[in-house]
Amino acid sequence: MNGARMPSRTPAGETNMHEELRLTIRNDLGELARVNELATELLERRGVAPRAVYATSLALEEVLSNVIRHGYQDGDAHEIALVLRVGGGGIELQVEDDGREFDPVTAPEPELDLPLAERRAGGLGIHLLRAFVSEIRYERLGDRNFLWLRI
Amino acid sequence: MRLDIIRSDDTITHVAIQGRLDVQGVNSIQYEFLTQTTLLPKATMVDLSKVSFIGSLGIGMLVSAAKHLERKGAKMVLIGPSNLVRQAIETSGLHNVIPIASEETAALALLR
Repeated sequence: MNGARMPSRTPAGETNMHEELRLTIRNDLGELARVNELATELLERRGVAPRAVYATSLALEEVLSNVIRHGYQDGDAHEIALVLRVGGGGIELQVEDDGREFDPVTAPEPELDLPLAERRAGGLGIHLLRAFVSEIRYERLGDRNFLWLRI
Repeated sequence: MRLDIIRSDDTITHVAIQGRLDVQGVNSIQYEFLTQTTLLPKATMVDLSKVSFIGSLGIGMLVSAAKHLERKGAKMVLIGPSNLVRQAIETSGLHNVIPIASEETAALALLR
C-alpha cells in the first residue's frame, strides 16, 4: 500500500483546512484493515462524530471488498486508488478502480422482508452503504470506475 | 477479534464476540463461530455488546448460523449491540428474523 496524508487549504485560502488521506492499495482483502486503521486515525484526530467514523469505515469496507471480490476475473494484480477528505465540507471518499463496470447507485435493492429460511447470507453491502452515506455518485470512464461518496 | 464461549450445555449455547465484524474479523472467527453455534440444534445467544463494527459480511455470518439453527428447530437471539451496530443490523432487516435483547435475562425469555 502506498499512501500520503496531505493537509491543504480551500481554494480561497481560508483557514478552514481540510486534510486528505491518499492511498493506492492492491486488490487484496488483506489491505482493508490497514486502510480502516489509517482512515479512523485521521477522522478521530479531526474530532469527527462516532456515527460518521462508523459510516466511513462501513463505506470503505463495502466498496473496497466489493471491488476486490467481484471486480476482477483475471487473477492479476490491480491497483485501487482512494482519497478520503475531511474538513469543513464534511467527509468525502473517492475510489477509482479498473475492475468490471458496477454502478452501486442503480444496483437493485435486496428483499429485506423475506423469512429467515429464504434469506441469503450476502447481498446487503450496497444497501448498507446507501443507508449510511448521504450521497453517492458513480461514473464509468474508459475502463475505470469512479465512485464518489459524501458521508 | 475474539469469540468466548460463555455457556454451552444440553439446552443453551451462549457465545460473546469481541472486536470488529469486518472482512478480517469474520474471516478469523467464522469457522469457530459456526461450529460452536450450529453443531447441535440448541437455543443460542450471541452477545454483541463488545462488537464495535459490523459490515455486510458479519451480518451474513449471523444469518448463516440462524438459518442453520432454524432448520433444526432452534432459535438464535442477539444480545446488547451498540447503537451503531444495532442500526446496521436494523438497516439490513435482520432484527425481523433474529430477535435482539438488551441483556441475558431478556434473551432467555425470548428463547423460551
